[in-house]
Amino acid sequence: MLTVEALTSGYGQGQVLHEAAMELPPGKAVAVLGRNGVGKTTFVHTLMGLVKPWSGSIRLGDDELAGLDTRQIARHGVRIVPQGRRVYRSLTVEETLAISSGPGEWTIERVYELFPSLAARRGHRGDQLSGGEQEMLAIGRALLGNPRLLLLDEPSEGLAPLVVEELGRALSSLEGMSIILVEQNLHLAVAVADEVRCMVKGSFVYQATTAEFRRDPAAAKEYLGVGS
Amino acid sequence: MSLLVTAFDGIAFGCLLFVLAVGLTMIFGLLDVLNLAHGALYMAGGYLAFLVIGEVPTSLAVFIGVALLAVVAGLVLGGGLSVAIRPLTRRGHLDQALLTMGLAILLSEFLLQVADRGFHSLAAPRGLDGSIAGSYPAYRVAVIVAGLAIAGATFWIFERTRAGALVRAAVDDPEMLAASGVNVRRIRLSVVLAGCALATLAGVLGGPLLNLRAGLDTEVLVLALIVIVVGGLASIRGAALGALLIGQVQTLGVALVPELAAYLLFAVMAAVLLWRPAGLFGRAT
Ligand SMILES: Nc1ncnc2c1ncn2[C@@H]1O[C@H](COP(=O)(O)OP(=O)(O)OP(=O)(O)O)[C@@H](O)[C@H]1O
Ligand SMILES: [Mg+2]
Repeated sequence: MLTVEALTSGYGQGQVLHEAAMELPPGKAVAVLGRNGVGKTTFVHTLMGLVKPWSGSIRLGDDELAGLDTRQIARHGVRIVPQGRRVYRSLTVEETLAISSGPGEWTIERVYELFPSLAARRGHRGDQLSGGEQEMLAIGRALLGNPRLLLLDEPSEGLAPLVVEELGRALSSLEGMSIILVEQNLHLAVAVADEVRCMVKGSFVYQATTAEFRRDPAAAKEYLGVGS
Repeated sequence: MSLLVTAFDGIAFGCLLFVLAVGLTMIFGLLDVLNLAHGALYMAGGYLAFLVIGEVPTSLAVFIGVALLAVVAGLVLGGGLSVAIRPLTRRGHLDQALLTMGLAILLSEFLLQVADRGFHSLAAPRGLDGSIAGSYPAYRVAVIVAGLAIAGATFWIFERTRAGALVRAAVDDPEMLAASGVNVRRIRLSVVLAGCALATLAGVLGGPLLNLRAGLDTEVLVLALIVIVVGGLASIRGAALGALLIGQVQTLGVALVPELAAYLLFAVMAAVLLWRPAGLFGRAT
């Protein structure tokens, strides 16, 4: 499905990704874990073309995405839910969903079913929403593009535990969608993902199924700095 | 009574300033380019009308036809402008200022060559060249009506349509919009074209109010810049309120304290900015 090989990128002179490589089996959710600043956001931004790849390859199905611009990558069916949510501040929930909606099985009504609290706020502007509502809106915006590949960058960041739980349920219900989920919240990551990859200094150094990862507390400690 | 007349003049002038400034503020919000050629576009509209119909009154239909011609000219010039500024995206504001100022000089000198360097003014079209309610010039009322109609249409498009939502999204976060598969470049081009067309249209509307002459471009540009700084950048509401405020200040100032009018404008701008540094409707980022 998605095959990333020897991907390097960075900002100006500063290289962040060092030959990052991963495979995402079709219809699976993979969690990308790693400490602050290892390059997780840079990785998903490079996949989306928001950061230009310096070298390496990003193959989605039969398509090579490395070198395309962001809009072309989006047209190939990739969508991102960015870190910090980045909802359109001056658009209402309804407007945001309307301009993001493309042909396919995801409709605005279905997004409201997934996130009922968003439906209740449909007339509110992006900058009037709570963090949790903004996250739901950012996810809805991405889903309406009917993605072949969905990138989620720390959706739980800054949200209350109850909201994170609601997000977890929603994301788990996306069963069958190909997802890369960047997370520092281990609970959410293992609840949603089928497999786990850990990143250190811009490379992937660990891969396991979620079940294996659960039985391997040393990995969590080493790559995330948490005990369990 | 005469103060009331002056206040009405201020509204008419404010409406004219809105038509000019709304494009300037949206182009800045969307492209991060301060188009210093905007005053020259206004001037192009006025001189185009002067070259076509001269200074004699025409029928309303001819006047409207000339206004539409100016809109077309604005679209063409806007196309040229977007080609010219494309290589400068992501360069500093100074480069863009130099480029658009250079274009402004080229355009205004060209117009003065084709016409001449004297003073000219358009005549109000027949039917609007009389006065209303005894003594108030009908054409000024027409400018107010046209300005309000254009403002209303702009608001409606911007706030109520899908196209307007796309433009606002492109101001808020162009990267995320592109990441939804939208062609942000096309949205930017549309806004440049619309903004430039409104500027040349303003030039025709203002032809019977402000004399056509050398230096007109910088004069209206400075006013439009004050409007958008006072109103808050990239805000249509801000452009509307700023235009009405500056229209009043300018007209009242000229009528009451002519020797201080220019200072008054800057004093008002300074006062607004001290009170709200991002302008009336600006975003405090
Ligand atoms: N726009 C940028 N310009 C320059 N350097 C950047 C930029 N964004 C990130 N960096 C640097 O790149 C490195 C990786 O950052 P990145 O945001 O990818 O890390 P991350 O793993 O997502 O961190 P976090 O968990 O805090 O979100 C960091 O050293 C960061 O300082
Ligand atoms: Mg990050």
